[in-house]
Amino acid sequence: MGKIMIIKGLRKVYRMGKEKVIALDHVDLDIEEEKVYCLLGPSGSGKSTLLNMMAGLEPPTKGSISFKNLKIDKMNESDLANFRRRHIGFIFQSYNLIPTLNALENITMPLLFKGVHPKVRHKVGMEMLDAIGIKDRWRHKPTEMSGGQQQRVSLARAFINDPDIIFADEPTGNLDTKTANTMMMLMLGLVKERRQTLIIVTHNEELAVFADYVIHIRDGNIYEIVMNADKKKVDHSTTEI
Amino acid sequence: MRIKDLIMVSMRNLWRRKLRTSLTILGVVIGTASIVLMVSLGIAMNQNFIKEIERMGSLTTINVYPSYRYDPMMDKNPSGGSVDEGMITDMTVASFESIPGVAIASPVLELSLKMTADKYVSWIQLKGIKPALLEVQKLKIAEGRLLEEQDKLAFLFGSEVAYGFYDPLSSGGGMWYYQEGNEERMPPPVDLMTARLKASYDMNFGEKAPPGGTGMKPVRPYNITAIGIIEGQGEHAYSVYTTLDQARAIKIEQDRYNASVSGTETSGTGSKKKTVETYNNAIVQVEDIDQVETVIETIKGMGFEAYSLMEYLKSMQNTSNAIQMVLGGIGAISLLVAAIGITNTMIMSIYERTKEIGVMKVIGAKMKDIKKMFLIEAAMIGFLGGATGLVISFGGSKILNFVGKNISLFGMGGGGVDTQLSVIPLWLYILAIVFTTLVGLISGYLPAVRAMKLSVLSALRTE
Repeated sequence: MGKIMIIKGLRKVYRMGKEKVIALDHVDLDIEEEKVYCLLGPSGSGKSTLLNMMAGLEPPTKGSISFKNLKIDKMNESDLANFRRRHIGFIFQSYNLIPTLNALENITMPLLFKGVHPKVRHKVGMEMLDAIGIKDRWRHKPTEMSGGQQQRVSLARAFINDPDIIFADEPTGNLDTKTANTMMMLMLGLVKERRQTLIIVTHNEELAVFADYVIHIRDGNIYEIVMNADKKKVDHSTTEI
Repeated sequence: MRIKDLIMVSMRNLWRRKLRTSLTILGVVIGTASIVLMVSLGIAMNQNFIKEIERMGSLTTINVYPSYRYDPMMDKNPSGGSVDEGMITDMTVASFESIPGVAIASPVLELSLKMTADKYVSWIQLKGIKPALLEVQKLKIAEGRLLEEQDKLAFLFGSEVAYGFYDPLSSGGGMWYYQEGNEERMPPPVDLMTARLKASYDMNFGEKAPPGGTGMKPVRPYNITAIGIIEGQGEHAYSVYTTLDQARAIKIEQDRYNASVSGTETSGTGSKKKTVETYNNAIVQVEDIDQVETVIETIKGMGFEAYSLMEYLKSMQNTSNAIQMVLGGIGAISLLVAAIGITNTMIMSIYERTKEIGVMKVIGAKMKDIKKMFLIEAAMIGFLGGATGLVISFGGSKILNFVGKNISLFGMGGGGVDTQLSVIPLWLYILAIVFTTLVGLISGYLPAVRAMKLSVLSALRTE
């Protein structure tokens, strides 16, 4: 299996007034294709910073990140925007849906930026809604949906572009355990089906069981990487609302 | 992003803040309406100037006078033969005609005559001209026809000439034909087309002979045919035209009569025929209004005095331009305030939507798309404000014209029926809408760039 992302000597320093805060240092990491990774660590460990840099949301202070043969650390704002549009999907903890748009419109936003024809957007969006099981709620605004439903919409939005890597930042942080599990199943099912790479950031160790690799992060360093051999089998058919 | 989608997204964003959007648009509406109405006042003023001047005469007509004060009645030309430079002769008229842009040039031979029409009497100023001149000037005839080269003892009358006739036997003089408090005009005392017309250079002709007689031998008057009446007011209204040949024939007899009366024939000039005939003035008709000024310059360069209504129009236009600038400036201030309002609204909405912008950036919005989205929003405010402002200006203009129909604002207008206080030509509508849209774009540019440059992470972290 090929490597989709290679990270070398990554360092990120934040300036808080006069003080320097080292968020990440000496991080080397290879991400393999079609695998599920879990970045696990307490808050303040630097796991979100790592995720943000991998997704091209902020530049590293030092070191390199390459996606296939693209050098993400060397890209400018506009190239990063293109990179995100073409290759990555992003799921937020707080869903971050646009409140004025309905479910379908929220899901098809990435297609809107791609300049896809409205009719095609509608078709693809409805298929996606069907896949995540809330097809009948396509007209609903975010405020008219439950947290679980909102996160499904957010999920669908990340997948609609058919990206290479999906980044999920605490995707179940705002959900109850039952919904969180359903959510994880749904996410893993989609990733496997579409042969995509998934990187989840969490401080919840229970989620780690779903991943192929668990990357433990502590104080800005990778502490250890655990391969989950006895991982639970993911059953596609058990997805339900 | 597709342009249709961009517009749709912008529209939705405007719609979702209806009150704020409409208040901002209201600012633009007021700005547009005030600027358009102000400019329309200026345009109307200008048009009224032109109309007024056109009533006075054609703008393409140049009147040429000899270069010094020169009285043809006194012109006995004692030196004989030679003609001073600056006098108008057939030669000089021909040279006027050869100036590029000149359609026709005609000398004018003026004579003061006494006329009778049935029992009525009047003094008239007869002008001998080339009949072709009137054709080139596109003179409109109310009755009869234009002058022709072969006409003999035939006069063409201005519309006001008939009002100059009075009954010498009645005591009141009767020169006023307006009734008190009534703008409606009485018909002239005599219809020149049907009356029996006689004319004479004898100034006592037609009057009651003073007791004991004038002591002068009476002159046999000419029998005159009226060939037409010129339509409308203006420079021709008080004129009586005849052919150059006819005027010349009368003049020769008048000169001879004057000489015999005053007895100055002894100087012997009467026998010594003048070699070159001089005229009172000349009329030069220019083909195009744009050429008037250069032709005037050329004629002045040749040593003549030349005037046209253009000069008057120019000075009037300068005045109206200055007024327009002031009026437009007042309107511009309100539009400037509106522009600041747009910028303010856009900055506010970017603050509100910072998180949304961050999300859009994360899920793949191009930098340019974000910028365009806000630019279109701002342009839309400008456009909608401009369009609404124009509707209001249209109504306002109608009201102004209605109210101001009988009021002469700025002391101009002259009370003509078609005088308008406010005129909005098509180009003003188009210009206004383009301009307000542009104002929207410019006002929205800074906020849009700001939105585009928002850092993704800090945008996401805002609540």
